[in-house]
Formats: sequence, structure tokens, C-alpha cells
Amino acid sequence: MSEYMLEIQNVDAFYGPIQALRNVSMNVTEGQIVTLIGANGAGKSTLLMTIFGSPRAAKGTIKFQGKDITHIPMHEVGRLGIAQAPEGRRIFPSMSVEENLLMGMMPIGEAHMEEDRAKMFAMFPRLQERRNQRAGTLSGGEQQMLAIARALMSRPKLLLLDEPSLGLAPLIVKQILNSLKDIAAQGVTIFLVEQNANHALRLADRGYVLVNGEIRLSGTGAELLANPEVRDAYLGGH
Amino acid sequence: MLFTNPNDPPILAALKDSLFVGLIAFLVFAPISGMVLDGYGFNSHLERPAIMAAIVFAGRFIYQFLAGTSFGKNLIAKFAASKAKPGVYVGQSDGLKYLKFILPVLFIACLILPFFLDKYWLSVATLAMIYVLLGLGLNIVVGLAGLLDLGFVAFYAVGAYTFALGSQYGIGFWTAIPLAAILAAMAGGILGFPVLRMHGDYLAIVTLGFGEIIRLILNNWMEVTGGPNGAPAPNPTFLGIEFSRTAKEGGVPYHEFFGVTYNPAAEYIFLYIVLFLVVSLMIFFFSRLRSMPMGRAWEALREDEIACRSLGLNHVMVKLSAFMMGAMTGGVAGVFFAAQQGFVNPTSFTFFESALILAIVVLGGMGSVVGVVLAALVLTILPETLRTFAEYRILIFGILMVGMMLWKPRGLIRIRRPYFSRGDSK
Repeated sequence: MSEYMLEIQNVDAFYGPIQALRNVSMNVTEGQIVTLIGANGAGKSTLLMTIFGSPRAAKGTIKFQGKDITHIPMHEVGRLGIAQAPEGRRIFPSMSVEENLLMGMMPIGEAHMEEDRAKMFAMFPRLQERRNQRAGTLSGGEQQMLAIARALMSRPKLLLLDEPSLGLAPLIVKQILNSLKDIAAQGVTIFLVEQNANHALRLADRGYVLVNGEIRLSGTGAELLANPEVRDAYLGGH
Repeated sequence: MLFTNPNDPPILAALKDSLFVGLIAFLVFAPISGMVLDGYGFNSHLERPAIMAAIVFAGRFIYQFLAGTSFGKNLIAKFAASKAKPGVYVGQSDGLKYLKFILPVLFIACLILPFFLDKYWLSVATLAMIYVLLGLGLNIVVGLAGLLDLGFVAFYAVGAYTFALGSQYGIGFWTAIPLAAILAAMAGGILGFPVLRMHGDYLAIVTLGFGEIIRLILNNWMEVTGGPNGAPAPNPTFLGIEFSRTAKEGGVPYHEFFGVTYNPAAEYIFLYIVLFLVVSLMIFFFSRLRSMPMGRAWEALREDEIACRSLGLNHVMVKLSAFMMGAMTGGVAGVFFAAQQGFVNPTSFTFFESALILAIVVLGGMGSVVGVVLAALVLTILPETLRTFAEYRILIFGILMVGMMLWKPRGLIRIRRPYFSRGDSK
């Protein structure tokens, strides 16, 4: 048993001939919020998806709770206690909000449905108001809330989030990132991929900076926030 | 509308609109009801479409004229106001209130229907039920799982031939139903497995090919299937009781067993009732499917495969189960078809059948059970009532489809999302 919940060691990943990740190593400690920041095309989403095996890591290993998951199929990763709110939300647009939540329970069965649904509605009251509405008719922020709630319905130990702030109004971003704090407080480990470095680093216990498929910097959230290189590249230099 | 201009006085606008609508009505009705076939030629009765167009014209004019006047506006406002509440709210359905009264009545009505039909209409009703079954089966594959299957008729053929050929080896009607279901599901599995990595158009082409392969095998494998000559299918029996006037070796005909007078239609009435019960069972099952995890998984897979897989769903199993479940239903329909026809041959299983079944699903509304049932009834009974226009059947189909795609792209009945909430609405 290793001390980390998620260990990524020396991972390479390719899209056809193009190398998207180079020798990436990073760790997520249980109970923490860990963030990965980087510019467009740095490979953030690729790294997140290699955990789910799409694209599969060409080299290196990925371990979850000490178990090697580098080569297991995508749907089995979902059953191990890892859930993701994927890039672009990927909710089921013509299904209702509640059906989307039910889909989130697929890995664990529907025994806890009433209890967990109530929990999600308490965290995101907007979803309760709209629970019988088709998910495709929700606003962007509501869809993001739904994606996070759907992921949480499988009672994951590790929650992966890919740019939850993408395309949302600043106020909603704040609201969603605040709710991540609550989720972390309930004992869920969070791995957050973000472009919004300022918000993400404030929230995170630990951060990694990905540049052109390589980990350039790592440190605690506060350290990275104070780092001049990060400030120049991601925080507008002030 | 097209030719009106916003500054026209209402009466002129109404007149222009109505003329336009009347013209369209005339164009639509002219070939359908204006030409009456007479041998190889036809007589034109253009006064008929003219009358219909006039009715449409008058209706539109009255409607639009009234809507323009203050009286009409008040009337419309009154109807609208009775429901509207201020603010935005999400509508709750209340249309299902009467369902528990309507359903049993409908059920009993359909059950006793065959006793009031002559033999011809009975066969039409049976055929309609068979298409309901086929439509429901394809609805799983296309409507719920979103896998475009153009070769659905293959499973129908598997079912029909299972009964026809199986009877030579002593397989009766009742054994044939589960057997056909299993064999068709296996055929679905065999087809499904290699094609599941395909999407959309590619899948459609492969399934189309599969449908043709099955038909060609039936056509050419003379020793087993009888080739184009087909194979006879025996009459259905009930607990060993036969429905013929005189029973074959050792059997008992029903009129002797029950001590009633012989009715040549009894066999078909029996077949209809069994079929109707199977259809009812399937409708019951399918209407619950969408609130079951399996049905939801099919729909979710149609919407987003990546999201589904990351939620722990094995996409191969989900697709395969949809294919097999649909094929199974098609196979059962095939048994009833063979039993009703008393004979099967490959010409019953052409691509046109697949297209017809697909038309039922599209017309009815993808995924909607009620819609599919309605569409199946319409598409089988309508051509029979319009026998005199048999040549125009395909034309009418085409027009219907184009119209549907324009005005109701989601089919007759758009599916209602199931609600899961119980009593905690606030």
C-alpha cells in the first residue's frame, strides 16, 4: 500500500504520432485537493483521461490505492471508486436531471438513491428546482453542477474534474469551486484540472503545472501562487 | 405566411393565406383522390380534390378571420388564460389521470374485437399486431439505443423460419415462440458483436447487408429452407387441441372438444388473441423499460458513449443487450407471421419490410411506446383501407414521412421523461 491515493509515474501518451504527455509523474494524496494547471493544449485533459485509459499510457504506470490500473478497461476504472466530471460536462442532454443522477449510480447500484439525491439537491438547490427538466435545457453552470453531482452519485473516493469553470460566469465559477471545498470536506479526494489558475491554486492543497506535456513545476497551492514564473504565465503578471 | 405582407388588412391576409393553403390541399389531394383507377387507365374526378381544397380553404379563412377580430382574440385569450400562471414554472403532466380507466377498456375492446370482424379484417388486425411487435422490437435498437438497424427483417425471418422449418422436426407453435426468441436473439448477438464498434451510417450499411444475407440464404439453400418455394407452417394448436374441421392423427378438433359448432375463423381468432396478449405483455414491459437501469443505460449510451463508459458501463454489453432484445421481439413476431400465413418464403422478408418497420419507429417517435403502437396501426390498417389506391401506398408513405420530418421531427408522440420523485415536490 502506498501513501498516495493516485500515483502517476513516468507516463507517456500519444494521439497517433503526436506525443501529448512526456514522462509525467504526479501524486494525489488522500483527502487533498490537487490541481493541475496549464495552458491550452498542454495535455491536462489528456492526463486526466489516461487515468481512464483513453488514450492509454504508452509507458509508465498509474496506480490507484496501490493497484495498477494502467491497463484496465475504461468502464472498470469507473467501478473502482474514481468518478469524473469530464471536459465539456458530457451530461445526457435528453434525459432528465434525475435520470442523469441515476446514471451516476450505475457503478454502485441504486440502493442509496433517495439519500444521495437529497444530498446533491442540498448542495445544488438549482438541480432540485429543475429535476424533471431535460438536462440539455439547463444553463451551462447548472449543467456543470449536474456533471459534478452525477459523478458524486457513485460515492467516489477520488473525483476528477476537468475544467469545471469553462465558459461560466465568474459568480458561478466561484459557487462551483466553493462547493468543491464542501465536497472535499466530506472526505472525497479531488483532482482538479483547471485553466483558471488563480482560483484553482487558492483552493488546492497541492498544485502541478503542465507545460507542453511535461510537469514543469509543483508545490503547495500557496507556493505556486507566489511563484513568479506561474504569476507571469497564468496569473496575468500581477 | 408566404405571400402576405404585414401591412395587409386582416381580411386580405386571411384570404391570401387561405388561398395558399387551399392550393396545397388541392395539390396533395389531386393525385390521391382525383384519379380513380379503372383497369390499366384511370378516370379523373377532379371535382373531389376541388371540394376538399374548398373545405380546407374555408376552414383556414374562418379561423384566420376570426383570430384577427377582437371577438376571436378574446376567445383565444380565454383559452390561454385558463392555464397560465405568472412566472416561469416547469409543467407537470396531468394527462395520465384517465389512463387507468382507458387502458382496461381498450384492452377488453381489443380482446373481443376479433369476434366482430370478418376473416379479411381479422387478418388485417393480426398483421397490424405483428407490426406493433416488430415496431416495439426495433424501437429498442433504434429508438432507445440509437443503433440504426436497416436489416431488422432478418430477425423476423429467423423467427418465421424457426416455426416453419421446426415443425418438420415436431416443434409446435408454443415451443416455437421461445425457441424463435432464443434463436433470433442469438442471431442478433452474432450480428451485434462484430459491428458494435461502428457508428451511424456504417452500422446501418452493415445491418442492411446482414438482412440481405439472411434473405439470400433462405432463397438459395434449397435443401433446408425450400428456397423460393418456401416452407409450409402448421396451424397453431392450444394444449393439443386443433382448430381444423377434422383433426390430424390422434388430435382433437376444438369444436368436438368444447361441443360448439365449427367456425372456420376460430383459428385466426385464437391466433389474434394470443398475439394480442403477447403484444400487451411486451407493451407493459417496454413501457417500464425506460425507468429500469437497463433501458436507461441504452439511452445514455446513445447520448454519450464516453460519459457512459466512465460511469462504469460496459458499452459492448449494453449495445449487445439492446440488439439481442430487439432481435428477440422480431423473432417472436416472425412466429406469428408464419402461423398466420401458413406458409413462409423469402419474398416476405425483403428490404422493404425493414424500411416499413423503421418507418413505424420514426413515425411513432423514437423511443415512444404509444407512438410506435399508433404508427404501426396506422401504417398497416391505412394501406388496407386504401386498397383502391394501392399504387399510391409508397407515395403516401413518402409524403407522410416528409411531412413528419418537417412538422414533427420527433415523431407522433415525443417521449415523456419518467419522474422519480414521490411526494417531495417542494
